[in-house]
Amino acid sequence: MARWAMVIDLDRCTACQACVIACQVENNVPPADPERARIGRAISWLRLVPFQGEEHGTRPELRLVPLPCMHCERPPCARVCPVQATQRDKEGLVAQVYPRCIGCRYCTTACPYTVRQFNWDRPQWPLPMVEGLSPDVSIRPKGVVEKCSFCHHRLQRARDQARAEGRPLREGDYVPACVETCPAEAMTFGDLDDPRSAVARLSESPRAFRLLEELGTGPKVIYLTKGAWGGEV
Amino acid sequence: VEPKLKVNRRRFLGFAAGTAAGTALGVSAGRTIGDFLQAANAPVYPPRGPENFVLSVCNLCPGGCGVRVRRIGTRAVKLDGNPLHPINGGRLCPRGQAALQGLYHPDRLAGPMRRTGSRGSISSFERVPWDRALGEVSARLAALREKGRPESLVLVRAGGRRVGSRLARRYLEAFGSPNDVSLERGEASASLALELGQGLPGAPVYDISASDYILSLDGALLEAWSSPVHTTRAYGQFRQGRTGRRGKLVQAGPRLSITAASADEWITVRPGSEGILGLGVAAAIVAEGLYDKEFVAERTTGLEDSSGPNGRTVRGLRALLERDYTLERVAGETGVSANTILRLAREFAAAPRSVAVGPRGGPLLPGSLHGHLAAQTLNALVGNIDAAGGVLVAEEAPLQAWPPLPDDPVARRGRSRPRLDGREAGDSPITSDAERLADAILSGSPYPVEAILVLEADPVFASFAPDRWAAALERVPLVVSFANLPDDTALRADWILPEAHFLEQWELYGTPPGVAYPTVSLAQPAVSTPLHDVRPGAEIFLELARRTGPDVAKAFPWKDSASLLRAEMDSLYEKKRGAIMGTAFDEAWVRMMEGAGWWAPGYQSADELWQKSQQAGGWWDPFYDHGDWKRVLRTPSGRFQFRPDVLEHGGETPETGGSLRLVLFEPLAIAGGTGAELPFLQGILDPGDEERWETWAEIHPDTAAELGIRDREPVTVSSPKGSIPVRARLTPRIVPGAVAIPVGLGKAAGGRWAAGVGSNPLHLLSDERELYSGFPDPGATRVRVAARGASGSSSPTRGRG
Repeated sequence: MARWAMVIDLDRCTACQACVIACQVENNVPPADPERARIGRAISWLRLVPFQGEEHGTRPELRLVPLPCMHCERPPCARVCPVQATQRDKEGLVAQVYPRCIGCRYCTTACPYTVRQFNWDRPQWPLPMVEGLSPDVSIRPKGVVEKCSFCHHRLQRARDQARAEGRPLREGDYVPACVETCPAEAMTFGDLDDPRSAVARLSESPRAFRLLEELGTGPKVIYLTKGAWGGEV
Repeated sequence: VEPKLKVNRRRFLGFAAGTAAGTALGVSAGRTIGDFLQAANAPVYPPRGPENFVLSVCNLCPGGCGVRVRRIGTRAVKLDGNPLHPINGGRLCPRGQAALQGLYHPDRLAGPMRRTGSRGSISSFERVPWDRALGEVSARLAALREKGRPESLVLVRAGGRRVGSRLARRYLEAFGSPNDVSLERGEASASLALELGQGLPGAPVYDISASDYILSLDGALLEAWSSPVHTTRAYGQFRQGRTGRRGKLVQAGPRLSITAASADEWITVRPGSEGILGLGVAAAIVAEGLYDKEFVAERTTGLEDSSGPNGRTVRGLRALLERDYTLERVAGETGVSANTILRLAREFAAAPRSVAVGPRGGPLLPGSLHGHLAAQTLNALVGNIDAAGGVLVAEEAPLQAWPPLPDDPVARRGRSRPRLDGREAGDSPITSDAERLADAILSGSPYPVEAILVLEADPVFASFAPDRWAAALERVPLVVSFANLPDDTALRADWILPEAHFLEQWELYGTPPGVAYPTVSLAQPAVSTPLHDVRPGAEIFLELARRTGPDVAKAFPWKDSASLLRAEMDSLYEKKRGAIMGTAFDEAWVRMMEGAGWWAPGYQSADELWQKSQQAGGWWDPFYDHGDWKRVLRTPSGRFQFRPDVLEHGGETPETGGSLRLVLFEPLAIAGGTGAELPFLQGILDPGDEERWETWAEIHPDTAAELGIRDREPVTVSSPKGSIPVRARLTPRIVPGAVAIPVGLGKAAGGRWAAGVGSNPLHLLSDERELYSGFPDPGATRVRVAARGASGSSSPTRGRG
């Protein structure tokens, strides 16, 4: 059984945000407007989070980190959900079942990565923009929580394809939309339990780290730090 | 008619409980999604039909990425990169990802429009049929030729690498006008620097994937660079694509840009002094003798003094550097310490392959010629001209030249008149001058303009003289726009003949800037019929030519646009070189074969080339012949020329009134003055400060304290030319004494998501021009910032979840 994980190499990432838009198009996220953006209600399953600091106390520094759902091994959101609308499935994906969600937002509060978003409004697409919607992903109604699914529908599609061709699922058959588009090739996706996979190899890198690991969440998005010049990386 | 389904919460839960996964539904589950759509109150049902893919080319910037459109039935539902396309290798930037929002934009024009009321509002237009629109426009144009005044027609356009815009240019030539003005100026300064040093046209290509060290003199390398995805892929290689060889990126500039944030080192310099820093580094390299002596001796000229034709001494670069670019002076002018300058010089010269990048800020901001020449000087000093990891020169795609224009005395006379923008007829079109053109229209001198065609350009928004352009259009009796989503210029047009969206038409694209090898990309329509009553650009210009009269029509020997595209591809077959686009293995194979003198194209006939181009995305020639000096050094001496004579004019421009330096930048999402139309792109303007849907002005906290300005306060930024409302953003990302404002918002048109959102800082620009190049110099503008009063207390609430 696969254990799906993502590696994001911050040394390659240029913060272009292609992943952000690829995700929104792929997953039928409705377009926002200035008002929703202003009050923080624009939905985005994947965003870039700035870490601003002062390097050596003098020079400002800006680090931008793409932040999808971490698909935790021990997801705090699942533990607090009163209706089992969110849970880790057997392949390690933290699923969100919209029809079960009662909109209590315990999970948005419990998630230490703040990647869960609540639908405050009915999603709206003006005509004919609605024609560009993907048939693979359901539209979320008002009142439910949504988040990154690692493009789970792509796994289903890849599995169907492999079955039709009478072969097992291969590495690269299933990649989320963000990984597919990343211009710097900073994102890698695959099975963490397959020692030959790129993600398994990269997760062993000395540059690898995970966000808020100390909380015991077991995040399956692994970051690689910026490498030093001249250093062996 | 679909049955109307009443969905309440109980039914909603009921049907969903039947789905297995719940998180995502399969392709076959159309009806269920229909229920969802009804729950969302969307009056349209989801796409039905088989999945298929179409290859096209993204036209949202000049970058030329190949795209693969996923279609369900007749609808396009997702764009991704074409994995076989050599420019982007299956990757896309956020603009390309958002392109479907342009195709399905609710405010696209339904068809040709004629203005009946006052300029400036879309409600002043009425729909007319194509036949009437083309008939009336061509009759008005034909009358100009009959009056013997064809030169009074002007074309304002973007880059012109695709057949549609090449036809527009040919129409202008056959018509008889020299006034072909490009607003795509991103490569202007870099191209001029290349021409001064190496004597040939075209933009330099920085081969960063093979570099070990990049010194960027305020170049927006990782933002809206020439071909952004191509460059970003190369950057990924530069960082982590080569085992044990990680490149170092040093960014010098006044702002902690996205590029600077990715850099290993951000060197803060005073705005506009990046060229001085570059020459300071060059001076240290020369003084310490760290330059590539073999290359400089064999392939360059102008480092040392020489004697001129009349026996006078011509001063060399070394003398200029020793006199004007001493460590003390450079440190004083740039604010960079002498130690840092020396360290940069040593690192740059010591790295196996280093490259200096000029101050290109984006498609609208070419950067100073002085800065680009400084970068070229550094590259030549370390011998990285035409070397792997250095600066390459792109080769044009070897398409057949179109047949010469038929002899037409009216057109010949018209073309021989002086250009209205003051450029010479032989100048590269990339250096055309839209601002001077606006002045010429306003003054009516040397001759009045009777008609303007505007293709893929928006001078009322994106030129450096937006107000003068708005006034100038009032003086022109016939303004024709080809925009399919009305832009600020189209609102002031007399006619709008909407060109099909790029995903609705066949097209052929030549090599984009910033790519070293020739490519010809074939784009196919992604929807079976255009969503609106629009026509492909090529068809519009062929038809205009046909109707303008037999003398003009003779210059267009093609039956229709399809036969023209086919003839272009056939001419590639006859060149007996290159290959169909393919995988990395195909690329290596073709490169190896061509390197050994073989041609292994993978096609046997022109038919096969045409078929396979549709399946793969097009044709290219991956072989780059490094050190082909006859091709890349075309100066009279056959050597790279250092240009102390030009560098002497530069660095600093006269300062104008006001107190703060204006620093403009182009976020990738809205670069080139387009992008704000698409709501997804408005949502990602700047990741650093999470800015979106409005124009902000970055001010250093120390400077703001002096001015009494608080964070997020509404302020007015004003210059002698104009003033704009923005929101102040206090941040150490910009050096003190400057104001940094993004370009790309502040449109009057562009649909519901662009109109009235943000402000356009181009209204602030002074008329200053850079010495020698004569290009507009946005960096010379000085501005004042003042709070806008009591409303300043409002601060947006921020919360999630």
